[in-house]
Amino acid sequence: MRKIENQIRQMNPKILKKAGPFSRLKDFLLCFSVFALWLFMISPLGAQTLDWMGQTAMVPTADKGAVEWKNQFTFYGDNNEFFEPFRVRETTLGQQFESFLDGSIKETTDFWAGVFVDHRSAQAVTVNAEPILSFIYHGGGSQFVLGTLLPVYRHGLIEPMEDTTLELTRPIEYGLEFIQKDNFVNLDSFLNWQQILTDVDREIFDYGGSARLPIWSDFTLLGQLHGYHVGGEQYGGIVRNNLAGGLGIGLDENFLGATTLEVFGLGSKDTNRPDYPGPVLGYGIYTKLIVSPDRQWQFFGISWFGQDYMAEEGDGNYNSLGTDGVYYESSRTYEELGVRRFVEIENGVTFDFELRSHWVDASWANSFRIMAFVPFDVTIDRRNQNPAEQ
Amino acid sequence: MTVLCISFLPLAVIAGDVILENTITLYGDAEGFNGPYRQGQTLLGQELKSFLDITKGGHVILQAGLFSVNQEQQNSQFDLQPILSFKYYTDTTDLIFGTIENENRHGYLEPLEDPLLEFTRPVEYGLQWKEKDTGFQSDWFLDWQDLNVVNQPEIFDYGGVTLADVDEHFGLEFQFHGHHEGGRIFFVHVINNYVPAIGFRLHGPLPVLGESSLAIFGIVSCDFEGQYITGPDWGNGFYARAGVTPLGLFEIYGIMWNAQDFFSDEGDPNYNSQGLDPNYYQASRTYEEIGLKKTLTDHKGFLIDAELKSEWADITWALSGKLVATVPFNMELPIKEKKVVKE
Repeated sequence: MRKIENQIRQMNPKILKKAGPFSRLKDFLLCFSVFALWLFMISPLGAQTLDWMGQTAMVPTADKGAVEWKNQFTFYGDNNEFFEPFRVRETTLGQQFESFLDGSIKETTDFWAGVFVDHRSAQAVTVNAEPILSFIYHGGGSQFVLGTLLPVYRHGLIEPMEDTTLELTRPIEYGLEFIQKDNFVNLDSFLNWQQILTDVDREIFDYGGSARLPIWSDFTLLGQLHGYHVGGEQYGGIVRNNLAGGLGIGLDENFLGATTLEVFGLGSKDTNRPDYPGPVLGYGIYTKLIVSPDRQWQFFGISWFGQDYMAEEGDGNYNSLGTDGVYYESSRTYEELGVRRFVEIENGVTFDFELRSHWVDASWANSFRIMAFVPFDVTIDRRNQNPAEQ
Repeated sequence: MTVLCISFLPLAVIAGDVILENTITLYGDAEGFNGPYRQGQTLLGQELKSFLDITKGGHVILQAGLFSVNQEQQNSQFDLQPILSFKYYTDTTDLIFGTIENENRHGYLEPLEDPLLEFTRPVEYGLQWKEKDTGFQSDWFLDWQDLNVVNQPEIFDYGGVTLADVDEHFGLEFQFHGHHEGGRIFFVHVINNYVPAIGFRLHGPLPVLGESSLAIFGIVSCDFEGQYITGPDWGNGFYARAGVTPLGLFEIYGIMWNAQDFFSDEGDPNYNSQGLDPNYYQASRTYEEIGLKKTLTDHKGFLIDAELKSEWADITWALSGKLVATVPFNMELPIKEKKVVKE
């Protein structure tokens, strides 16, 4: 349970990263008043940690020898008012529900079986249901997951590597994951198979991960890698690859409350994209500063300078290629300012809110995201547990 | 799905804060109109709402389940919709995320929301803020109806009702309803309709006439980017409703409506200036309604609501009726949540 709680605690802060804006005044006034009131109501109930960039989260496992029925309900609303070449306005509102049995087969082995459901808020929509089937081997700060992955904060990848919207549109993945979390390194690496190869579809998968390595005092060495592959030789057709990665330095200081600074140098390589107007190689510098004077409210800023940078699954605002696949701007700048609040209400229930302002080259837009997470776990079998542990 | 999962649980997981709530609703509604503003329509059907009500401490309730509706006909299909709701509450406040509560159309007057929506849109999804205290209550919401996909605009409506009591028998009320169609992802036409209303309600017992009420409202409509090109952007209307309950048997009520260029996207079309035919438009409108209404209920939540009404829309006359029966059935389930251990 501790692990579950940790995961939720870490997940929520992170999932809040992206959001949508308010150029439509009516939406803004309505939604913001509700959200502001909500925040006002629940703010005395708890406080957030400044841990939202400590990306590596362990997957939840059952108590030794027990079978647990794990459920998590996620309620999300994400709105952005982008209307520029790199992203367009989008509102995402819905509910997700994951429910699975977690059986602890041995001290180091768990098995998950269940289902994940996503319902977008609307009168007539199809409800997507996906299976959860995983084998987990764990021990000594390491976890190996085979099957369904429940990624937390996009495996720790920053916005130019993976768009934060993926937290809502691709909340579960299928493949392999290796997590290591100890005093030496925090690592989350994965392979996510998105589409299998058939006579009409190309195989698609992405892979990569993030790592944090304490090097000296409050300094941390940061690493990021994300690859995206379209291919499959069996039926012929296009094979293309996109690779983005980089190294960075993180600094945590008790300055102005709590402060975190991260600076990354990133590079990208994009090959065989049809009609791609830019060069194969690109690069960018990403800087993020978070200040939390009271360790509850987080004020943050992001700065980005890019040159021919292109990441397939990254936030489009960081890329040089526009959404239409034709528009191209070699030198890019992007800035973001925002405030975020993460509240633990009670019994593991958390609420997360984020409001942002974006400057995309010469255009400006706002965005917000609200999310509520409600876990509900039930122990349904303790037969294999040691009586002393019960 | 949750219900299915629970059926597999062993009895070992006894005692908890989970209640299975079920409500069966049987309804029939016949609209006799066949005029320029709305056509005759008869609805007969059954609804089943079944969800788990999970209490998470003292401020959070989670609801998860299904809603199904069946319109009576041969070879009919059940329409299934999920119920997933997060509610944060205090003694006076409800903040709801997901499936929202829309009993009695949030309290809207007929010109703002058509009563037929109680049957045709029984479940809504979005955000909601409800406040209820001594002498004050409000219900404000955002209801997301359609996603913005290819060849389909995003559609949502929003607004609410706030009522403040001045004294025991007199209250002021403000209502607002907005309807939006748009979305820029696929570059479709944008439509916005705004309808605010302000008025008062007077109620109390009268000799012989029993429990009586009077509601007077002034309503405005704005259709700046409307779906019709007929009529001006602005319209207005005057709404009055009076009712008495002689001997406590049933309510006898009357509605009077007088409007100029009024148009509400989700209101009862009999109150609009725009007809069903896009070319039909009547700037000055009148509408009257006289009806009988009887509601039976008991302490277990069982409810029967019957209504018969006679309506005049301009010079057209029609007779309509409605019968609704609601039967709740709740059950405590033997499920206990695993304790969260703080590190």
